[in-house]
Amino acid sequence: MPSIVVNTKDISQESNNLGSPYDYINLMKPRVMSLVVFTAFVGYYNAAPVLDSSINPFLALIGIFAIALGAGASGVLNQWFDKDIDILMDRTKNRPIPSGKIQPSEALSFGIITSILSIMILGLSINWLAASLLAFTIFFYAVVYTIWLKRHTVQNIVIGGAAGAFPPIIGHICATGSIGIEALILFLIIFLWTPPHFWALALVNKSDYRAAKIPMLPIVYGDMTTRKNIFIYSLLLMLCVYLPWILNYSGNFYVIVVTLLNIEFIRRSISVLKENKDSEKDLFVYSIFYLSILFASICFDKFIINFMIG
Amino acid sequence: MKSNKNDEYTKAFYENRKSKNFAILGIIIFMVVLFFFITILRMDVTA
Repeated sequence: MPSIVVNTKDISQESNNLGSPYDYINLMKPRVMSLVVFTAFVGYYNAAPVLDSSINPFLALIGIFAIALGAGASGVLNQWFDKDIDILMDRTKNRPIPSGKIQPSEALSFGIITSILSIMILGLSINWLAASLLAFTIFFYAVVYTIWLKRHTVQNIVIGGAAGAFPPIIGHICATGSIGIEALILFLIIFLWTPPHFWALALVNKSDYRAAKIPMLPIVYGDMTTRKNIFIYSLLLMLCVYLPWILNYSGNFYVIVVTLLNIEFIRRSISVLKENKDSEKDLFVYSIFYLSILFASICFDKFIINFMIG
Repeated sequence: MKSNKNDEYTKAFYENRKSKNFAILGIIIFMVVLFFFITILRMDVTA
């Protein structure tokens, strides 16, 4: 009977690096995934309310799952490539790869497989235009942003912000089969929201980005330039969020909510400009709340309109 | 003493590998069921 020879040295290393399902879920950046799912759903619902949609609701649900999987896959590929800088930053050093819970090669395989699966599921369940845009989004985030932009240009999160802005367009394509103006407006809102959000974070974690040699705006051009840019982008965002109302895609409920949200956003941006204590952190936290409520109000507004039409 | 440690590592390795294999099996079954439902839901019965 043949005996099995086990090299315990290899085992001791590998047993610590197999990773639990929880580690794999963490590797997919669940918080980013939830935001992607939410914005994609708003893009979908805004284009065709679920009850009137010609798409089977179960298929729509599978489509949203595919988008979530694609977002997770791009997060995995991002962490695989950034393993050398994640270990240098306090904010990211406990992620599954730098902390040694998952091996980089396993993360790469996992990222590629989930990318392909997400594209296939979306293509087969909804349509191939949505699947193509999902593929492009994964490519944009994993290659254009993570590999090309992040370490080489100060405009990294400005251009890279497009990756996070695609999900509402994918949601819209899922519902209608084509790209519409409403979806492009939602794209623009997330695109303009990204710089103030990430630059506020960069001001808070400046030492982290400096240690990892990432050319974020505060590192390259200093704090004051960053604060001014945050304010400028905040103003652009404030104007842009009225587009759904101006173009008659959203009603009065939406305009009331965004006006209230805008007042607070501007107040916090001015606070950042004045260099008030903890103002950057406050703006960062509020920006997440801002986007969530803004997108929820688009949905709710659509719901009210549909309810009134009957 | 060293042998005990090696035994623990070996045991942990096989347990980890076993749970990972079950997880992969679960994912494969999930995908089979998912693609089955996609096919059924996309079938145009009126055609």
